[in-house]
Amino acid sequence: MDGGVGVAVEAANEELQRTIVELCSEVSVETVEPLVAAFEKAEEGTLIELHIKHNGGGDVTQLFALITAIVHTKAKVEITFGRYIMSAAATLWLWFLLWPVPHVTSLMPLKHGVLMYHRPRKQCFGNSDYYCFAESFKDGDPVKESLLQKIKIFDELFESLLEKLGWSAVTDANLVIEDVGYTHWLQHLKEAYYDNKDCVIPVFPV
Amino acid sequence: MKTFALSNKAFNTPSEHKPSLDVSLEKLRRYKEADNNLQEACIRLGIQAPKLVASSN
Repeated sequence: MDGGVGVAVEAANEELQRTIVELCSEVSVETVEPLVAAFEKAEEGTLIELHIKHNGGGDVTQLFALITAIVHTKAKVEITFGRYIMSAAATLWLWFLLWPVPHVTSLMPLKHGVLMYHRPRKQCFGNSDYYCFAESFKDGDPVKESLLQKIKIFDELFESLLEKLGWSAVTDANLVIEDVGYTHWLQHLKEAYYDNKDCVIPVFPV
Repeated sequence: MKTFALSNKAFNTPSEHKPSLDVSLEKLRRYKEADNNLQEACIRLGIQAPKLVASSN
């Protein structure tokens, strides 16, 4: 697998030395651990560009380990992406776009890209073609309660995304014109997300 | 699957929220708390803790 801690590049016109690291292909122990180490050892006055490249997402535990390392690093961080970012990878980029912290910025892609966001799910032991969502567990199950607590954070990020896209300015989510019902696209998006469907979102450069 | 195209106008508008470390720290604290609760519940039940994935397949 490609990716991991990458090339150090120093641009002559930049005040800070820019180190570019990549998160390629997936979010896993193998791809995240070297990045966490890089963020932990980074010194003040440095700039790390985390480039997320054609990433299909992966492990939620590793995603949170990476977010934690970025939030606590002493370096300035810029998060960029190329081609597509899905699931956990999209969550990482959206997190710092929608909930910015002073030393971290998510930047828009330079070329057209695609983002896919959805609620996290649990794969079936022994057959990863099957998965379930937290709702599949029985009510009152302590496992379900804890999973719902985790998923609430993803829902809050989605709500921030809706706000960014103008949800609060939508006065009528549904219209009826000549006996035909129309639904605002943000309402469609909201229904798809809360129905545990994947939301595919093209992102265009500035 | 439903697919929705976003206008870049919406994405490119400056954030109304001032950058704040507190928001991220609070979310991370809640995630850790939920994870601890999950581990404890699974130990009590004698089961393997389910792992969440956010993956394209």
